[in-house]
Amino acid sequence: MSDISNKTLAILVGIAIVVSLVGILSIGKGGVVYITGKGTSGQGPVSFNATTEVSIKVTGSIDFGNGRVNATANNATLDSYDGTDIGGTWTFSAQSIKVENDGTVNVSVNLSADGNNNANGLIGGTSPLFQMKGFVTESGACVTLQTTYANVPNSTETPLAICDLLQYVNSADEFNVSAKLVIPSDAPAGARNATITFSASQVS
Amino acid sequence: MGDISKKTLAVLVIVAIVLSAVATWKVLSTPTTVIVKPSTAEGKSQVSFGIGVEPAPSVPVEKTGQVRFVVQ
Repeated sequence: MSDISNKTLAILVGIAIVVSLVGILSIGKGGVVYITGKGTSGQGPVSFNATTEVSIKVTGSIDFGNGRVNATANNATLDSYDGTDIGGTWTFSAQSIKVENDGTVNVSVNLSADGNNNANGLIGGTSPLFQMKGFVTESGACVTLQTTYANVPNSTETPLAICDLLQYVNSADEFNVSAKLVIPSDAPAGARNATITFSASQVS
Repeated sequence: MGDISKKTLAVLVIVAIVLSAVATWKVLSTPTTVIVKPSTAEGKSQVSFGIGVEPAPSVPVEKTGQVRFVVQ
């Protein structure tokens, strides 16, 4: 390889000088630019399932105890609402069964007795009565409550609609049920026990 | 055109060295300015929130109570 001439070297040095000048002039004031991050948008779906629940709680029972119809009376009328006995020797205090909606939806509540335990089946004799009614313990809990005594059906009869809409909010979700018996003087002696089934179905 | 003399070449080299020195000095002596440019766009986060409610079973719920008495 032949040696480079001075002329070639001069041209290269001249190019170097020009590049340096351009560089110096383009530096300006100097600075570092930071750009803050630009916000981005995004969507994150969040979902869960809430399961509704139909549930009622029934507490308490009604026990009239032992007794008989007075000899001078045609029947005895026992009322658990106020603990009264007219025409008989039963002694008991006021008692009731509490029905509470502990689910998450409004419900209707019906009741019926087990087996053949309507008035004739449970008590027997001439013109017996086995009735129940509801009474308010939390205002507004039940929209339409059966507040007068109505006959308790047996398991094959149409259930008694005791409450058409029982709310589920804790402050107003319960009512009580009392029972009334009319025991005729010719009713057979013996112990009686009726299981009352309270059935709750969801209503809107 | 004849070849350039070594003297001329030396002058050019010296000029190049001086320019390099000047450029280096200028870069080192100039204070650095930090320029922060905030973003003009707002950050957005969106969350879609869904609730699925399963219907209650249509089967009624049953509970029981007792009524007892004895006829003597």
